[in-house]
Amino acid sequence: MNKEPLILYVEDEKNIRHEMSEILSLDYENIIIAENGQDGLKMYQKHNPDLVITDVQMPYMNGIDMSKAILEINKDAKIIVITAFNEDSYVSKAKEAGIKNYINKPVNINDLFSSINMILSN
Amino acid sequence: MTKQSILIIDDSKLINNSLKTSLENRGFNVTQAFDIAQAKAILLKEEFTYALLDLILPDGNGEDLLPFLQIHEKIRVIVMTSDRDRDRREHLFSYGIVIDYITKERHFHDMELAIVQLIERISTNFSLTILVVDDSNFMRNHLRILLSKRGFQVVDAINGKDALEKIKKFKIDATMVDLEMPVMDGNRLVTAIKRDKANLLMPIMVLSGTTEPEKIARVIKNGANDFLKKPYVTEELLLKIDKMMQELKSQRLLREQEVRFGLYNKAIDEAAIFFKLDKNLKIIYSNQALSSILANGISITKNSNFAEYLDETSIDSLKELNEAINEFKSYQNVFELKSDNLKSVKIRLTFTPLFDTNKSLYEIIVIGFDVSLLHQKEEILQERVEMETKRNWDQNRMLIQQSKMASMGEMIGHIGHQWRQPLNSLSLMFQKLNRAYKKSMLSDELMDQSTQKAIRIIEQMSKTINDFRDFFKIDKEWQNVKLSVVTEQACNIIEPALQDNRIRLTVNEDKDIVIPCLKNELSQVIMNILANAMDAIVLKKVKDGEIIITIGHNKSSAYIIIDDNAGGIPEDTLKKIFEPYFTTKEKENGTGIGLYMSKEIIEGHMNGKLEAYNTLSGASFKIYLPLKKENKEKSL
Repeated sequence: MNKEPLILYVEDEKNIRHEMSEILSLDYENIIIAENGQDGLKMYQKHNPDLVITDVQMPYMNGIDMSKAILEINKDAKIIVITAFNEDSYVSKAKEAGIKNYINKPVNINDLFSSINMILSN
Repeated sequence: MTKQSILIIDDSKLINNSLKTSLENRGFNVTQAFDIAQAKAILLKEEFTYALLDLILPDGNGEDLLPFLQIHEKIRVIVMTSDRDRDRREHLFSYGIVIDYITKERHFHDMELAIVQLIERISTNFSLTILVVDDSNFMRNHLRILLSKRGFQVVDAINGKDALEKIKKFKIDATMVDLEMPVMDGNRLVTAIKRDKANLLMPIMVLSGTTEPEKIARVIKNGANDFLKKPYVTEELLLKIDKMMQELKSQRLLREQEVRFGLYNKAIDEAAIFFKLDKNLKIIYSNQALSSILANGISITKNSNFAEYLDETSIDSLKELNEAINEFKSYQNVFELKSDNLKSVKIRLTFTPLFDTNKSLYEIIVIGFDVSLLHQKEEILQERVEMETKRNWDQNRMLIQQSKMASMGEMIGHIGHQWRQPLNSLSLMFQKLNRAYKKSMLSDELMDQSTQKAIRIIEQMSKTINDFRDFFKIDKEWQNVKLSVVTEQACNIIEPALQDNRIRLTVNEDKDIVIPCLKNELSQVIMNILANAMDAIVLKKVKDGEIIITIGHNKSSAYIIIDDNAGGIPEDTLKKIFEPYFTTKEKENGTGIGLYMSKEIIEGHMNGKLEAYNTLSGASFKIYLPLKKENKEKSL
């Protein structure tokens, strides 16, 4: 078995953040959490996680801008963006920024875990 | 016209003064003399139109003054005397200035009246010309003087032929003619004059010495009006002339009135419906206007009954008409008449009953106007007003309906915003429990904790529903509420949407401003303005979007000012934002009803004022509301 992966989860909304971190902890042990894009970027620089899962709409740097900044640091960084259905413009922005993986809200956690597995096994 | 002047010569102070007052009141300039000496002195200095001469004076006979008066050629002397001696009277006329005698009466009033009537008669004689036809030079001169003094214009002729030429040349009103004359005698002249229809009214008086009754009869038969035998008494001649000319005057007046009456008749005939009824309401005359209305131009059958033409709806009016006529009154009403082209005709008719001196009805004159067109116009107008009212009402209903739909859309949008996150949380929670259970990791603690949390979230969600329901509830009555509470209500609902768009909302408020208002309606207005501000900030991609609400009050009003920093509203748009259906937004976003309804609510429902301005950074909406409800029945 590989070394346990480190996952950075970025979400500003308290309830969602809480639920998602509990869900992620069901399968993964090492999870670090940030409340906005700025903090997320700092934590990425500090901990160099194997995977970043981020919400899009957040104060102080949104998920897309944060992802762009991360990809500039590490062009092979693995990022999953969680977007709402009505945020089509963010999806295209995410694609432009070179983000290949995104999941729609409301999140189906089976889909989320298969995406995580797929990305991490690559 | 200059004032006529009169010299009164009478020694009786009573008579003299009484006459003076009376004549002055009638507009004459009056001078008084009480004896011959005084009169002479006055006559040397002044001229007069008339002299009233008493014959018995203290210093001599009034007749002695006549030569003095004769100096003034134009003077007309009226002699006041109780002397009825015929020869003496005749003698005084020979001075050529005496125009008549007034008999002294016991009652001054009668005497004054006689004098004034005589003077008035003379003044109306100036427009009349009398032709004097006589072969005697003396007679012509005598009559000329006499008639001139009487006020008439005089033309003379020496025989019948000469007279006919004068009649052609001058406008002759009356003729005095001798019978025996060379060339053409009086009888032939009278016949010739009366042959011309233009002279039918001309009075002719024959003056002749003839005693042959058949001659007199013949000339009267041929058209002469009167006969006076020569030699005549001047007073009698004057009386006859006066009578003849008075008749002429009244005949002319009658003719004039007849002509005028004819013109009136014609004017009414042309302008209105005009007909006459006899006492049994049978039509005895009807003009073209009535015929053309009732029977398309076919004239009304004479003696047909007026009631035959009446529509059933006017039967009651007919009864009223009969009652009015029985009371000698005229009657006016709108009658509906049957017409042969099935369309009924409405006519406003005025019935004027005419009664003879015995108060028996002999004719009813009816004048009327067709008012069908007027009624029709009124009906059309009425219809148009009704249509317009209905259209306005429909439009208003549509506006309210659309406004409701728009509000509902907004509400759903806001509920979406409010519920998106709790729904996401719940969704995640169930999936979490499911996964934990499958992985045998579902601990009691996780289950309890999650259940508690789910209940909390769901409670929160149902509170949101209650808030919204309250918010959109129709205000049943005015309530005294804190403006801060009303504002908060609106803010709470829009806050999630503002947060999504990263717009900061600040509320600055005076503490505890309580006003009577329709709470939810005011809340909706505030939210509408907030939503507009938010949309503007999003549309213009304003960084650091900000909305500031300021609540305050002055002496009579409380105000809520909502400022944004979206750059403001273009001036030409600003004028139109309160019009219904005006919108700057894309089709799916704006209904254009929000601000119109907001203004309606603030100004129409709550007696306040809603205004929009531009500030340096954006738009500013000001809501003013009276601190006290003007209406006395203030509900708490």
